[in-house]
Amino acid sequence: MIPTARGWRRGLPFALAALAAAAAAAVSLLVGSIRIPPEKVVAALLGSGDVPTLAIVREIRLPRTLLGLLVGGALAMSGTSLQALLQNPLADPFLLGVSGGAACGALVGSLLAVSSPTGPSVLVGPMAAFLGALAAVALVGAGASVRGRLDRNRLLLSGVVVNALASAVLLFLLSFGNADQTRGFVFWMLGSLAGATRDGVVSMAIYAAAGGLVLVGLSRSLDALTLGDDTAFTLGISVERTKRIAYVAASLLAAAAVAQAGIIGFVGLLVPNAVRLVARGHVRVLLLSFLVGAALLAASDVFARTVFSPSEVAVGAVTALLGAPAFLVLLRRRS
Amino acid sequence: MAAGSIRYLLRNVSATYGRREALSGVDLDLAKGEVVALLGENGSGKSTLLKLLAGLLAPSSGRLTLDGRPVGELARRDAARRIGYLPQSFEPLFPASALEMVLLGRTAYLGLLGAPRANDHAAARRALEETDTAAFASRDVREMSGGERQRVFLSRVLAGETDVLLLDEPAANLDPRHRFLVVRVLRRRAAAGGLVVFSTHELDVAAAAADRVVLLREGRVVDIGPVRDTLTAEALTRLFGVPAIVSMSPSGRPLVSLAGGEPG
Repeated sequence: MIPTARGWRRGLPFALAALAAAAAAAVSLLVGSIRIPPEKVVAALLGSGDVPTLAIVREIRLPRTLLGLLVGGALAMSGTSLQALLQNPLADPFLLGVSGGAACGALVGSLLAVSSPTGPSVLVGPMAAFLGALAAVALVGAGASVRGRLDRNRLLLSGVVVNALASAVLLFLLSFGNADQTRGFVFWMLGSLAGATRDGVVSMAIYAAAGGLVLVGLSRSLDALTLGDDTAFTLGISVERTKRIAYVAASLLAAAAVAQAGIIGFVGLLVPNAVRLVARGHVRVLLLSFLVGAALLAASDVFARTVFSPSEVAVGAVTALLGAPAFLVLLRRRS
Repeated sequence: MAAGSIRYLLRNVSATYGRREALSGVDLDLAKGEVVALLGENGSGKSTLLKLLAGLLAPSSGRLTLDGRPVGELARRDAARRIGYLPQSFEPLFPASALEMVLLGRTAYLGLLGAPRANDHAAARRALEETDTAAFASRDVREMSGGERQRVFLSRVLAGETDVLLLDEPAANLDPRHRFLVVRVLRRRAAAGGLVVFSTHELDVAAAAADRVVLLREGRVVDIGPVRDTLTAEALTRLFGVPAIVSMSPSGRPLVSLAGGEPG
């Protein structure tokens, strides 16, 4: 079947984003502090090769690449839904303090688990982060509410305050750990994919799929919410119910990402704003955001670990370097 | 728009925002086939009354029913297929073409993923034609003038093909030609058996479009009646505190102008 012009126009962004994600993943698998020829990487992925090469490719590079794709995609979908339900293109799980709250939760969880004999499970870690994220959402909401209604203009300010609070709590919590733990935690807090494991990837995939499916299922409601709460209500949307579910799903996505990779900012801000220029309707915006977010974070991670190789920059620093100027551009355009 | 019965009954209805009473003791009957204009100063309760009728606000006391059922108890999706609502102002924040914006008016007919079908596209196209905005269907609403945007938003409501239209200042920001166009659209909807209730500060629009007018002052209805009996010079002067001149056109509709009398 020959695609129509309209079909091309609608399909092209998806094809390009998928290509970009695949390219970023390929580079991420091929590049590292230890040089391995491409054919050996491919062979190792298929299960043949010497033990050290197999270990590096299958136990380090592959999980790290997959985690980068999933975390980037999850953060982008989280940002997309937060923007729609807060009717604010500047919303982002990082700027709203959701990621900070999740980090607090994850840290409390791991501090409690350290003293337990079994250790943290890869599925329980994200749940602790999720509780932290929900607490942050509740706090931001309380701070930004005027007479029971969320005031859009106060939202980011409230997010800044909750972020500051989360940072303070994190610093207090860190003082409980020993020096080694603290170093590891600080690197994780700044956003890093260095701790990627197979189990972590599986956990992230489960949470990303669950959160993503819920949000895609809310697409029609998210579309209507971009017209404002009152209009969405008169278009037949159960506004409060939709918002509650979407908040939970967005928090879950951000929390799972934080539990695996720490606080990575601006992916959730940048990606949806770019995607909305070429795609409409939240089914498409969410799916395309996932692909673009995956490509962006995988590529950022390649940059983070090669630019000063053999030492590594936190990938959160790379995304902030890209995201902060973009945020200023968006802010200026809005006023 | 196969309008069955439409009958709004308001009995001693009051509404409050927090502690402030925005509307008190309103009695009103509204029925199919008519255009009703709400007139009054800023803060007189016009928008509040429209929100009550849309179910966005529950009465703090009194009784408000549509065809015998309290408006708040209607199922959301059914209500959305019967009642269209245009809010007073809206600032579009995300990129969207006029057509995409108007298609959102079909939300109550769409599936879970929000994909419009051929009949939704047809309804959106018709609605764009009606407000003379089809020519810029693919332009981004954020880059339109206030008047163009206003017509696109009106199209969004019209695309829902509801029996009831509740419009908060549909003629705001419009040039004379398009104000006249809005008047025609409202008359046509009523002629097709719909009920149109709208608020406006444009007295010429109210005079040309309405069958009945409701005069509001400080949250109370001060007068209701057929346009030619109610839109009088004395009533308008009292309502707005500005001298008004009203004459009668050959068609029996009032011709209104303000500040035409002695200053002060």
